[in-house]
Amino acid sequence: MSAYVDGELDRETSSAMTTHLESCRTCREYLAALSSVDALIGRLPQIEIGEGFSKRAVARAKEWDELADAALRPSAPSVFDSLRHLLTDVLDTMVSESAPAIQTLEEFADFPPLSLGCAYFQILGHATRG
Amino acid sequence: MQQGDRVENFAMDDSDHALIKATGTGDHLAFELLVRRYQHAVVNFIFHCIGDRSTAEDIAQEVFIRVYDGASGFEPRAKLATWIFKIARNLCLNELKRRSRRKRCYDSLSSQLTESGSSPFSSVFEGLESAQELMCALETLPENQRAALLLRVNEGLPYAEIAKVLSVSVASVESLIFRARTRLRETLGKQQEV
Repeated sequence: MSAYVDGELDRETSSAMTTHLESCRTCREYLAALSSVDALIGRLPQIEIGEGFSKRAVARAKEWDELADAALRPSAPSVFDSLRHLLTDVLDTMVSESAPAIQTLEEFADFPPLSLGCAYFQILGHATRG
Repeated sequence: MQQGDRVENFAMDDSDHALIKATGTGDHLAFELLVRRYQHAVVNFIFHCIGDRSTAEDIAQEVFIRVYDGASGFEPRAKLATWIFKIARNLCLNELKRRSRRKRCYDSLSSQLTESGSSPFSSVFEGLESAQELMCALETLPENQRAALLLRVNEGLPYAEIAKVLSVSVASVESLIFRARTRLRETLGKQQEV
């Protein structure tokens, strides 16, 4: 029935349905009910679109083009890149300065076997590894 | 040729395929005409799918920027309206999923109508108190039934095109639309009885 309302049935089936509807009051009422639903859907509130909508869409498209161009174009080193390199260098320096401190601590681990100092550093070593 | 003349010529003479092809080359005028041709249908389809007037235009803008971005790769054998509504439907689905997490679907419309008192559309509906009731009845439908019915009744898409938008078979579309109409008839009938 729904496909009949939408004109989606083939000619033969549609013709048979039309013939049936002429003699079947129940189906006619059902068809009318389905059609009334469509009428209500057609009366749903609508948003009226202003002139600005398409202008905004074009403005966004232009921004999109600019972004795409910027992504493709090879750029000269920016201030941001310089700062990033500087920050990376500082961090590298800090990391390299912290490394000798651990080495210095390990230099004190030179205790005779079975001494308390040796046991302490073994425990410490296990703890840091674990 | 003046810009205005070109607009008229584009609008009068060019098919969807000519506009999307020109849009794919970065022709902003063609894109604007394409937007104007579909903006009303797309915005209102989204509005009726998600039930939120304020968000509908934002999502529609997103639809059109995706159309612009994908225009150069548009398959000429496809129907432009089908492609646009498929994008719109997918964005609606994303929005509904986001909202279902927040339990806010349709609240916005309800509050708008409540705040403004009686709906300006109330006189249109025989036996229904307001557009809010109709929108709420529509909201009771599963999303795929709602989208199928809107695409058929409001946009006049044939079942075969709706099937492409929803990524289902034509037989499924027929079933979805039948169930949507039956369920809406029952829901609206109950509202009229109350």
